[in-house]
Amino acid sequence: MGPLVKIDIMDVSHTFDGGKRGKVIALDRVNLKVEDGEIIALLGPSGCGKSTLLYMVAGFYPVQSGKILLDGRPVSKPGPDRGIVFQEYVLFPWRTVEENVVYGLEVQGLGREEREKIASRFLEKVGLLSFKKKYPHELSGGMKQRVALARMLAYNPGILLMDEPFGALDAQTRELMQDELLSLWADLKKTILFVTHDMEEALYLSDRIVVFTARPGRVKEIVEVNFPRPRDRKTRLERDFAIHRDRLWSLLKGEIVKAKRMEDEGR
Amino acid sequence: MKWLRTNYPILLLLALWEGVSRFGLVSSQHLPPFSQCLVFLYELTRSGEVLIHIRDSIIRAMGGYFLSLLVGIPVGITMGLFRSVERPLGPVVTLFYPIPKVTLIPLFILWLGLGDRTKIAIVFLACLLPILISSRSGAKNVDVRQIWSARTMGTKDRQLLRLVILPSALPYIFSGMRISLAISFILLFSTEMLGAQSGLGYLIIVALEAVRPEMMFAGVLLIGVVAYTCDRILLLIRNRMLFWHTEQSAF
Repeated sequence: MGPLVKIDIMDVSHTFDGGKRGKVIALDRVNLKVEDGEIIALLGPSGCGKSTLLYMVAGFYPVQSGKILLDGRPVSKPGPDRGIVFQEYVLFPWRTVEENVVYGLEVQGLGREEREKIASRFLEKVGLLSFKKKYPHELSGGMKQRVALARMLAYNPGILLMDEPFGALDAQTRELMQDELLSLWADLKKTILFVTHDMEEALYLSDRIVVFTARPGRVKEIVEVNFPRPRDRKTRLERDFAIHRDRLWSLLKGEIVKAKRMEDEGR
Repeated sequence: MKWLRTNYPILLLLALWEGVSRFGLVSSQHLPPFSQCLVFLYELTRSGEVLIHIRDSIIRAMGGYFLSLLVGIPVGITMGLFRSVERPLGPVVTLFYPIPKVTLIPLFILWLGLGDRTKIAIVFLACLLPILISSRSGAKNVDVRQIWSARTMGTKDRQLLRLVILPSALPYIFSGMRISLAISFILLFSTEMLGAQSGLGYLIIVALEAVRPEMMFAGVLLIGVVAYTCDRILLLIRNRMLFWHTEQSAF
C-alpha cells in the first residue's frame, strides 16, 4: 500500500456561465492525488481555474463533473475537516482577535474555558497572544493573516486550503509568513493545498507544484520539489532553487502570455 | 473653545438674524428677533405647556418609527436572503417607494380619523421602506467569503444569521435607521399640521392662525432640538455598536 491519499481529485472539470461569452470552461479534466501531510502549490496564470479548484475542494462550488474525495469520501459541502484562508484575511471584524480564533470551537459547542485555552495556544504560536483583545481593524495585514492562520488551526482541520494567502502582503512580511507557515506545518503536519502565482513561494513551501495552463485550466505538469526540510533562507540561494525556478518559468511563460492575450481581448 | 472654533458660523448667523430684525431691515412682524423667540420659548417651557406638545410628538414619532423597525428590519433581511421572498415583495417595494407618503395623509384621516392612529400609521409607512431597503442591502451584501469561512468552521444554518449575517449587515441597518428617523419627524409634523390637538406641528399651526411669528420660530426651534437630540442618540448607539466598522460613513 502506498501513502495515504488525503485529497483525490479525479477528472474534475468546471464550466461557468460567462454571460455574453456563453459557457466558459474554467477547468478541464484535472487529476491530482494529494498525500497526507503534503504541501501542494497550485500555480498558473490568472483565470486558469486554480482558485476554482481550491473552492471545489473546500465545498464552496459544486463538483459538476468528475470526483473529489477527501479521505475517500466525496466532497459535498464545507466542513471543519478543512480550513480556509483567503488573500484578504476575511476575519470577522466585529470580533476581537481571540473571539475570531475561538469561532470554530464555539460553533462546534466547546466550553468557554477550553476554547480560550486552545486559542491562547495558537495565538502564542503566531506571536499574537498580547493582541488577543484587539479588533482586526487595529492590526496590520501580516498580523491579520496570522489571526486567520490561528483561527484556521484552532479547530484542528486535517486539510488547510489557502487562496493566495500571502499575496496581499509586502515582500518582507510575505517571507516572514512563509517561514511561519513552514514552522507551523513542521509542528502540526497538516495537508496543505495552496494557490499562488508566485513561483518562488511555490518552490520554497511545497513538495509538489501543479502547473496549470491558461484557460481552460489543465494540469500542464506536476513539478516535484525535493529540497530538504527544514528549509530556510539558504534554500533560496541553492543552485537547485534557481534551476527549478527557471524550469517553472519556462513552463509558465507561454501560458501567461496566452492568458494576457485572452484578457486583452475580453474573453 | 473648540466648540466655538468649529461652530462660530452658527453664532454669526444668529447674530445676523438678531441684527436685521432689531435694526428694522426686515419687519419684525415677519422676522421677530432671535432673542424674542428665545424669551417666548422660555415662557412656554416654564408654563409646562410645551412639554405636553413635545411628549405627544415624540410618542407619535417613535411609535411609528419603532413599528417600522420591527417590521422593516426582519422583512428586509429575509428579502435579502431568500429569493422566494424577494420575488413577490420586491416589485411592491419598488412601486411604493417613490410615492410621497405625505399624500396619503388625507386618505388615512378618512380611514382612521384625526387621532394618533393616523399619525403613527403615516410615520410607520414613511419609515418602513427606507429601513427595509437598507436591511435588504445589508443582507445581500454580506461577503460570501465570510459565509464560506463560517460554514467551513462548522457554523450551522440557524447560527449563521446571528453570528455572521446580522453583524455584517449592521452598518447598513444603521444607515437605514438614521434615514428613517429623519423621515419620521418630517411626516409627523406634516400630520400634526393637518389636524391635531397637540404636538409641535400643532403649535406652529396655532401660531399661524394667531399670527404670532415668534411662536412659529419657537416651534421650529423646538422641532430642531428634538430631531437633533434623537439623531445624536442614535449616532451614539451606532458608534458604540459599530466601533469595529472602519469605513467612514455619512454619519
